[in-house]
Amino acid sequence: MYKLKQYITALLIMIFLTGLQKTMAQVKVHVMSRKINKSINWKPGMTFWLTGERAEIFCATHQKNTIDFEIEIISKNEDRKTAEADLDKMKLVDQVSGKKVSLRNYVELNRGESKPESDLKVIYHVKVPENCKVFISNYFGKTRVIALKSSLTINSKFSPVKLQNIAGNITINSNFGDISIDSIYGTVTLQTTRSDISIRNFSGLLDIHSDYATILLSKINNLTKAAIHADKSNINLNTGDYNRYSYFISTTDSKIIKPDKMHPDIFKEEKTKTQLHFNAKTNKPQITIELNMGIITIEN
Amino acid sequence: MENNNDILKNAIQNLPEYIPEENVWISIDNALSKKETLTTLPNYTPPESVWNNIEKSLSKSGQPKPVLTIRLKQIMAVAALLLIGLIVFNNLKSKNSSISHSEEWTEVQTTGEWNDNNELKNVLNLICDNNPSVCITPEYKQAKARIEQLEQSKQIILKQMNKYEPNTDLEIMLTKIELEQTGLIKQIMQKTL
Repeated sequence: MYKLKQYITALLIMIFLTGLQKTMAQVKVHVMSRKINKSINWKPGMTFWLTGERAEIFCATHQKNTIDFEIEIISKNEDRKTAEADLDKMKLVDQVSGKKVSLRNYVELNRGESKPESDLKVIYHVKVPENCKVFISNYFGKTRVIALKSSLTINSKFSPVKLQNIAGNITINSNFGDISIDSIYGTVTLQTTRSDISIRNFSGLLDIHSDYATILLSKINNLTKAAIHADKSNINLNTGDYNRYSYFISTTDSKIIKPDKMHPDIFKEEKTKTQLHFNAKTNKPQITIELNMGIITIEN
Repeated sequence: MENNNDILKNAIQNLPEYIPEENVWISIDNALSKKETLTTLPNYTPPESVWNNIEKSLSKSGQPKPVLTIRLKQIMAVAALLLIGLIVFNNLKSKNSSISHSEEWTEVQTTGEWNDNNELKNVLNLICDNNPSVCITPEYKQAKARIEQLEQSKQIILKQMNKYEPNTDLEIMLTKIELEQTGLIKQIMQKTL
């Protein structure tokens, strides 16, 4: 039995190591790119919808009443003609329909055309008015939003998301894409699977539902209320002063690591379940955590 | 000689006669008088200096310029218009969309090493072969289902890997998947072996 264990362990190490191996070769690549600039007039109440595929999205605000975008479609291949042909397969559509401004890219194949062989990428640089509601979907790309002050909804798959200096209602659904949020004021709702979450300098309401995540909250000085529901996840709270908040924590098959000087009002451990209440009878802002299989670390 | 000379003469004499109108004679008379007038025009011989000047100007311009036919001029005018149109169109087009080309040297990213999931199957089979009762437990089935689900995600990611650009974010995802798969197998081993 011991030998079998050794053999399996060796196999597992081999699987992991083969994943890290790489063989590299230098080649000359033709880079074909097409740039498109456009500006659309914006009026209060209009919303902006961006649907990207293999897209790097950079969205910021400006002081104009227009939605401006610069888009670059890039095709890379060792063969110039293939790169050119594949560039044409990546389509871009912008549309104004009532109060909805939408922009999207997709691969279109005509009859008899083969799938693109080139590396295709679309880079969006979008500027919207501060109060424009923004909806972004991205698949296999990157999304970065800066200085928005209205409402932001992101649906992301296999794409990391970065937000900075955002105010308002923020909703993110993410599958296989890490989320990094810095300097946020507002109501944030995150629904994630296999996406690590890092939140810094947060003020407002926070609601997280996550599976298979590492959740890191740091410098959260002005939290109004936070609720974290997580499964198979590690949660790290760095509030600056743990005593600033009240805690209602319940876990299953999990471990809670807390500062030594933190003395909970209630600390119950029954078989696999643990319950911890701290500052429960105060009016301090609440942090509620429900965790199944994971670790919660509350720092000083 | 002519056998029917008398018959022929008789026939000619019997041909109908036509007298031309007066204006026909007038126009013939005018034409003849113009010819006469032309013959009476005085002749002028240019002075030697005129011929010299002509000769000089010819030697300056070299060979005589080709004479453009009307058709060639028309073709050139159309071509010029087309050219102007093309320039204007390209200028307008470039404001909204422009295509550029460049070349770069880059490393080819290979994905083959991520693609081998046989080892994982071998490990699962090995566990089952060694202890068949393990394979019917709910824990094993649940873990196996998760391993397969992760494998599906892995294959989706592999299809989207860039060939000519680093895939750092995707490789991090793949590493996490493989770590989770390995962790699940370790769990099965701990509970069953």
